Amino acid sequence: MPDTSEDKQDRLSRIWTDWGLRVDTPTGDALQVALGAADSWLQKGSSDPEIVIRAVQVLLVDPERPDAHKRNCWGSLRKAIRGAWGNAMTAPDHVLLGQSLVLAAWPQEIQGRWFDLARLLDSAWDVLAGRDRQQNEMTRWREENQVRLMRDVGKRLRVQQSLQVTPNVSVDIAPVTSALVQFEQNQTTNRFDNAAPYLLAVFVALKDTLSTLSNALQSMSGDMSTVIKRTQEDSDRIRVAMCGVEGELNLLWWGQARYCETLRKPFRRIEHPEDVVWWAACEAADRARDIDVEPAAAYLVETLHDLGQDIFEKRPLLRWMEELHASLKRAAQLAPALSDRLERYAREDALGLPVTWVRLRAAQNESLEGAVEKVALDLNAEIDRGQWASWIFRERLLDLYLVGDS
Amino acid sequence: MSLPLPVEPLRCRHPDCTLPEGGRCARADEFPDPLASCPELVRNDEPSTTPAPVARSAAPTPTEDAAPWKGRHLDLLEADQLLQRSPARVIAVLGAYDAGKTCLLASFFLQIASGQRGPFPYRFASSRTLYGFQALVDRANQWSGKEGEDIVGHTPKEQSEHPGQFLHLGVRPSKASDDRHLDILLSDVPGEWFTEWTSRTDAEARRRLGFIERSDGFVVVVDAAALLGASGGKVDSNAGLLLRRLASELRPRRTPRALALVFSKFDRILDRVTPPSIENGLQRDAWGLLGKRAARIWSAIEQAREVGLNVMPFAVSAFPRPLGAGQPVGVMVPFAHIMATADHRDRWPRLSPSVPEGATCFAALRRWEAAP
Repeated sequence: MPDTSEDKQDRLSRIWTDWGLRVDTPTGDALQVALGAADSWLQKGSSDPEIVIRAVQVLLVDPERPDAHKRNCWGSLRKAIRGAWGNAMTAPDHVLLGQSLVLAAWPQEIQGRWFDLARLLDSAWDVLAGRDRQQNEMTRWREENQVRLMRDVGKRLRVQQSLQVTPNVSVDIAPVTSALVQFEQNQTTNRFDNAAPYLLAVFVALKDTLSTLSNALQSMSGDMSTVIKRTQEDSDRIRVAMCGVEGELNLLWWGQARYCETLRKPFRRIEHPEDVVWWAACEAADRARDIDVEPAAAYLVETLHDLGQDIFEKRPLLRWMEELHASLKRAAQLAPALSDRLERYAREDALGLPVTWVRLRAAQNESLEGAVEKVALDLNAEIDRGQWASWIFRERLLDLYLVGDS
Repeated sequence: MSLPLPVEPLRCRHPDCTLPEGGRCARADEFPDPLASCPELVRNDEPSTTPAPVARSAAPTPTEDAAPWKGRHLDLLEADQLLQRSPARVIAVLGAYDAGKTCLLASFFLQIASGQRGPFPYRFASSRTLYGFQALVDRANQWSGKEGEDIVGHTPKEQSEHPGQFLHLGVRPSKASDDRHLDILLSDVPGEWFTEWTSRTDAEARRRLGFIERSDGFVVVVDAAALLGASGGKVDSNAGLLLRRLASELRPRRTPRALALVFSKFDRILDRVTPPSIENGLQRDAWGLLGKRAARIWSAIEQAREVGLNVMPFAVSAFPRPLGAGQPVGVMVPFAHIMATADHRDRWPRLSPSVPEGATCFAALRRWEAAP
């Protein structure tokens, strides 16, 4: 179903009726302009991954945290809105309203692959607590994203029905024959007297027949180009599906072999269990570029379980980050470098990107001081090893997508 | 020769702006020269043709406006604008005329502002209605302690289009690891509005109290002394009606809401009733004579609990003695009860969207469940 501005306004009304105070939901000019600006900003996300990442970060911001309105992600949205109309937002700290605008303006249909990146930031939602007022709408948004992505994966494998092309080039030449017969009869009886009208009749019949022939050929050429286009699309789909199948096979074999290619030894022989989590997540991500993220993340966790890791062991997020920092220091030069793009994004705002931020700090040989402000999540929230492995996997995949594009 | 008419002074529609009083423009970062470009500022350069009012009894005096904050009660529009910043916890304080709602709010402010927060796990951080609180406290400060004398002024029934209805408090959790700043909006509306709301359902009464559905918690104040007095039956009946009306108005929500039933002016009946412990608070018998006189209230409590309200009665004395001579009793507990629900910090549940039918074995593989 195509998005219409009315749908978006309805969504905004529904959200603000729940989040706001006034029973008559505000639908003033300023808010409509703000919604339009948020919509235009998000539309750019089809070609600019940063917009999608910043938009998800805007949703992740806890408006009650200090300096929530000073974050770069919020600054990006606010700049877009102020660019449309300085009065559209009434104050620079109206983060809650900004979040409602993003939710309302989020495209309901896939608009370019970059919107898929939203799922790669999904781990951050695992540590969110409170924010009861927002939970319903944000959960709805996350569920819609997941369902849409599953539907999209299904679509990729569906090959279109081929177009039947029936050559329809039946040209009636009877008028030409008839005109020629009459011309000959006239020639026989009248020699060349009064031949011009008969000759003209022959030419007219010929012209009509050629015109019919030309139209038929043109129509066939249109059908042929449709067939070629569809065949190309089918071929692309098959190629994507084959890439997916190949990716699934590679991942499955990797899981069976449990061999760390980077360190050139089986995972079970890696000394530190946290190194196993890091390298396994990294290598699984390398093989999961063309396949569905959620099953691949689940498969990674099952593989870790098979390797004897306690996937249900819970630790605070900060502790996992410290372990990763130590693993990366041990990995030294072997650790893959961050892509320039993701590095820039994380430098400007690392909200919800703890793995990327730790990689950034480790690469610079710096400590994790300031993690609370930079990552802006509850670092005391406990998550299990499986969740943490999935988190590393998703952020590594995010990095790979961005590298691939640049 | 007549003198020229005075130039109309600056006015600003932004609640936080103090530029007209010689302060700072609230949007100074957007408009470096607010006098030239800020769209919120209004000034008629033409001399006013209407004479200035001689006295403005309802409007604030220039001295009042000089504070660097809004100061007075926030109206519905201003409160809604505050909510654009963060999901403020709205606490509706309900009760009949003279039940002690405003006294409770004044006492609550005094306690939290002076750091005596007791069981209330938040500390004072800010307020956009300091002048409103200050006005309440000033009046209470003048109370001599005589019975029958008003401790605070009765909340006026403003007839304006947007009457001030809310007091604002910014608080920070006392837990060191929690650095949030929470906005709390406390409703302060006249008791007559609730009487009108419970007795008839006209559009105006609904509009004025439209914030009730959005509220995150409720404080229903009942005058305990009046309940034991000659008109106790009527007090019981009215309070029961209010509670039932509230229970029937609220739509079911995923997260529960708390209701603190405050028996106010408890110091006046301490010789006849001993308040029970918090654990026994819901047992009507534990309230002795008060429980006996509150049959309709207790029946309404049951109804409120059935619709998901987490109800708990409390005995409160907001001003047992003049300010300099004694401390309030039990004022912070009802608010702590409400905030325990309104600001509970459960982790969000993990998503579990259904896997499409016919998905491959690989596509169906998911790890939705949480750790045991």
